[in-house]
Amino acid sequence: MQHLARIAIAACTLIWMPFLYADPASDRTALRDFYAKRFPDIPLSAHKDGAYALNAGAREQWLELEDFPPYEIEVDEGAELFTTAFADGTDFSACFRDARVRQDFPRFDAEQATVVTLEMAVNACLHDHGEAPWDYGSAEMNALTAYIAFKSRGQIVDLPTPQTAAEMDAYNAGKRFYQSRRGQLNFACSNCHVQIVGNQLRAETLSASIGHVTHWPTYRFKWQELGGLHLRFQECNSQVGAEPFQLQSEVYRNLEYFLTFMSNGMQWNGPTTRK
Amino acid sequence: MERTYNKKMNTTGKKVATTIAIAFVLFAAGGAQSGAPSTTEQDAAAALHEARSAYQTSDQLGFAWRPAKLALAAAEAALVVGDYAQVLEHAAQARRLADASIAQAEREASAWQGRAPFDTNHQPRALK
Amino acid sequence: MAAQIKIRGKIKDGVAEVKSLMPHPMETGTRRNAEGNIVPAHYIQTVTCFKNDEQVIQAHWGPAVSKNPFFAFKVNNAASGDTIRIDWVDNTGETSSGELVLK
Repeated sequence: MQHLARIAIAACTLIWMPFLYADPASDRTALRDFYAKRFPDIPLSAHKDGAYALNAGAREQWLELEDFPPYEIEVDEGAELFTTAFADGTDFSACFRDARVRQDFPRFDAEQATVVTLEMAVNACLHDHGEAPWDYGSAEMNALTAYIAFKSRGQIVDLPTPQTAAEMDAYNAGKRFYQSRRGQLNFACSNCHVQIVGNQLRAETLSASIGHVTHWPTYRFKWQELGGLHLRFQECNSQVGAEPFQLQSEVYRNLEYFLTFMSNGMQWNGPTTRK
Repeated sequence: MERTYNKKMNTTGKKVATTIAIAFVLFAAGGAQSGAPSTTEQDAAAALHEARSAYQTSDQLGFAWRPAKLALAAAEAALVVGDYAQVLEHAAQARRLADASIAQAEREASAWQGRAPFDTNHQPRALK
Repeated sequence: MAAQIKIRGKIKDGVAEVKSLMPHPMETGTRRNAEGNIVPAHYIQTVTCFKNDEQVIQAHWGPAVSKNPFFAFKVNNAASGDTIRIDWVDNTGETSSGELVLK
């Protein structure tokens, strides 16, 4: 009974929250201003390279790796998947044109009243053409999204400003997740990526949140293969002792929506390699 | 004048001591009732139920902790093999962690607002 | 024949700088799959590199090398028109090869 009362109290505080929210545009300005002040010698656009914008030695090694990167194999596999015929004779070009579509995702779909990510759109395409959906963490999903990311390099993150009540709900849910402490270690995303950004956590340099969404899927040497943005969310959550959410869960899609808006104006530069 | 101390208990003292001894025996006898299920198994199941309930609450709030989940799993595994002492230990740990995560959820319900770098015009929440 | 080796290279002051990427699972033979069974060892054992007909490198690898190995090396006295060839043989007897004509 005590637990129910606690849930009720937590829920009630949520009801009044919308009236206290700032608007997304000023949030984005506040975040960009913070990074500009924190890293006066680094242009904001450079943060698409994450920690490699902050650490010259690591950047040198990374650039050498990117000269002949390990994900090339998976991008080739993705290219093949893109043109493999579905049951009805069409292929992914029916949904994604020439694959240069990274800029179109995530977006808020008013009809489904939810954030639609690239991975969701891939499965929707499969479904619409008589094919079984792919697991979100599967090799096929990573290969195809890597191919789409590769073809879309140079596009600019351009998420329409959240305006409707439903869009604002998704945006605020994402923002709230970003700002809330969680896990046994009681860390919020902003603790590492705002408050102590640029410092090291164990052997890793903490990167700025703008540019976080631009380079996925990423080949992590730790994983020895490609992985998506939500996999990285899961890892981060686990690392602070929080039970992670499912890949492509609403929680993570809202977070992706929020972070993408924060990265508006940055370049899409996936796939890439990371430690 | 020197006071002499009685080394032996007087009659009243003996009556009190006897009453206490009888009462103790009655309490002990009452606690050691036999018949299924034993008190420890009941306690174990009850503790596990409470821990599971607390964890589920934290999960519903979106603030489940991995160590709480692991402790709960350890408690459930111990129940399966009938190690009730272990069940109590793991369930207690799971309960502590789940309660802490629920407290975190309650705090964060309002604390997330007004944190840098956004909304810094909000008044900081007064510390208790 | 298994997946093609990807090769890139350029000549710099008579030295060919060659980079290669070899698709291969490089299974150690100690991993278990979801059912709990050992995934059999499957790794490249010998890598041989040629400049035209001259063997320039012979490498002996084992399960410690990671999946899809990246292998880079330099060859002296390289000239435009030389062919760099890389062959590998793995522990199951599978082979693959890749060639690059230096510009």
